Amino acid sequence: MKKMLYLMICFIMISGTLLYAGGQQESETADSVTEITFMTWNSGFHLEVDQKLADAFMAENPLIKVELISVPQGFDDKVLTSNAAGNTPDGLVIWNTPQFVEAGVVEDLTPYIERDGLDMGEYHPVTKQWAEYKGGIYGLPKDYTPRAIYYNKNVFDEAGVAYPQDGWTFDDFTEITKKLTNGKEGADARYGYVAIPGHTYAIQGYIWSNGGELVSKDGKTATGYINSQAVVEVAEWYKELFDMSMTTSTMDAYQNLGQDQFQTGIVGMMDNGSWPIDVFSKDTSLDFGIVAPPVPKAGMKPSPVIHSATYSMFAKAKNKDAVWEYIKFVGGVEGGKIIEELRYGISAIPSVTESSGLADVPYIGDFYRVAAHADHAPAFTTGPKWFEADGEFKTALEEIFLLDRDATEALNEAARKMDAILQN
Amino acid sequence: MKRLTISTQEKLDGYLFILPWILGFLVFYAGPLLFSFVVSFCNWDYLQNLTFIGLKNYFKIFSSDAYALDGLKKTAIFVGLEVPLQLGLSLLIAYLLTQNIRGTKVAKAIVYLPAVISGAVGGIIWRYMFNTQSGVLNYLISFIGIKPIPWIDDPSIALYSIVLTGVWAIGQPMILFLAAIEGVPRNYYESADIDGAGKFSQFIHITLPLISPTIFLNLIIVMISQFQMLAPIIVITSGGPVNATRLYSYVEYTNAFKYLKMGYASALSWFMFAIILLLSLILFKSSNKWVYYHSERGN
Repeated sequence: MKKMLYLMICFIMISGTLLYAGGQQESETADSVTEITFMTWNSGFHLEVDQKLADAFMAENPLIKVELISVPQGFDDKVLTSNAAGNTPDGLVIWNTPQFVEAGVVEDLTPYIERDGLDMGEYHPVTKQWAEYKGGIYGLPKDYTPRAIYYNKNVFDEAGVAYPQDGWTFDDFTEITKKLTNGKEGADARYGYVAIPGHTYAIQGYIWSNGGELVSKDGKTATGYINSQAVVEVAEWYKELFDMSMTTSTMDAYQNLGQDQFQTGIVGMMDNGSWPIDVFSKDTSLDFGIVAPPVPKAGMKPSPVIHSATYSMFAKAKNKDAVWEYIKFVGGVEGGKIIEELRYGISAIPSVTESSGLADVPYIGDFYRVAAHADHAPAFTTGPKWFEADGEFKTALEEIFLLDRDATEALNEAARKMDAILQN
Repeated sequence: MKRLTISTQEKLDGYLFILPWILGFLVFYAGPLLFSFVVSFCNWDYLQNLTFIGLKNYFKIFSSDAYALDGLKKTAIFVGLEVPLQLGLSLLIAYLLTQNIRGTKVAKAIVYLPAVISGAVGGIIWRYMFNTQSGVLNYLISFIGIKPIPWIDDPSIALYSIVLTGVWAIGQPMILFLAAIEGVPRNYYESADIDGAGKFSQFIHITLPLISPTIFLNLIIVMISQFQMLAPIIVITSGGPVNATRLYSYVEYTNAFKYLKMGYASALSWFMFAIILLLSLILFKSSNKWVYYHSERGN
């Protein structure tokens, strides 16, 4: 018994010594190379694109080695916990800048930007707003996509309905949805549109184009905004649309906005970003088009919502100068050119897109055209408390769409609750 | 050097062997538990300084948070349905598996299989199965002429649909029941057979009393795990629609990780701990009346 114990202790000590020696050797040989770690939520194909960007950077900067850390599930939780534990990677992608800034997660990059003379005016103005908070700049904008409407040409042709054109109205959308919906159930059912309950992101572009806002500019007041006539009108219009559409639960919508049903011709139109283009383009049986979101009345301008993120630096990064070099590369002209050459996304720097010819490429070029109308950053960029307040807005939308609650009443109640959260 | 007695040496060896576990417990359980208790009296948003605010977080549960008590009510309904469902089903299947029926080995593996899937992965599979338009559940019920059911899209039934997902969690209690039923001495059944007792009567009067310690153990384990159930809620409904599945555990989670109110979330957790502790104590107290231990009766 005693012998066994001594043997075990000896084994652990020897293994520990060997492991330490191995580690020492590795770090000595890699002394001249700075290693940085960069955290991303991407996985699969998207991670391959990230790796190509990292490889291109390492080819140009052989003294910096980039290791990507993929966290596809629970990304934000992981960021916050690793930051609280004081053991963070060097860089990360973020989308909810105010929350991460207030939690002290990310570094203000203004000194680096000024030192290297970067012109932030080169970025799409809306993507730039993602990076800015309380006078600081917390990242360089990543690629972006506006939300637009996909339409399945086969479904339109079968129903004898003309394809929608940019400048179409809310009423046109409703009429087309009505014409494409056959009223049947089960396998024979066909729908004009796939609608989502409680999805702030999907609905806010319509609110802006109708002249409304979700919250005051300082992010502290919802009353007078979320319950304004402009928002009530959009909620009532969407309710009519919702009732005749194929519906998908909010959680399904976040993962898969009716993509399968659109691809198989069960629905004629869907609202989404540019992500499904790659899959749709490879489907030879699918003939589809992309159009700007409808406007409230003829002659008005759409105000599509944009999805983006930034390449940022952890405040506790160990190799700040090296990770800044990486951020500057992937979030700059070189990184933008690579993602456009790969036809992966639209660079946040419009001059890159103009010179790359991406604007003329089918589908992705349509998104670039739609993005030209984007003039608002999403409501969550106003402050860290938006997430909690937004829960009340989503609940109000679900009550209107699922429980037929009066829109004015539901939004008035939501506004009161949201004010209490935002002003607390 | 003075030699240790054999008894002391054995004790020392014993402590040495459990030392890794004790260290792990102190560092990874006791430490964070103590920290969360301290934090529950503070205002803390993860990184900034802790500010002591006394019992304010605990008062907030009963005063200004509309979702905490409502979540508790929903959790009570959920646990009230889930515990009998899981225990009843696992006991029934365990009993059937102890009968001489062909294919019991395969059946055991099938019933236990979901237990090795993580809650989040299982939740995603259930979400696909629940899909109103393309889910397999609605596809199956269409064969018997039932119209599609909006399992998780209708606020009035979403919570009950989540209860259904518990059928995938019966592997663990089933294994314990199986071992307990197989441990019941055969001669009791033989005597009952001679006396003319039927299968049902044997189950009620022999099997159930003799496996009551396992029923009690499973009851405690399942009850506690269901009070803490979170992963499926996050991935299937995210507390919706219209807050219908916003259980207490989800309220804790959102406060901690979405709104970064770690102090308040800790208070919510300790309040839940107190409820679970109270219920467990009540069950332990009541167990004297219905749990039958062989040794107590001198068997």
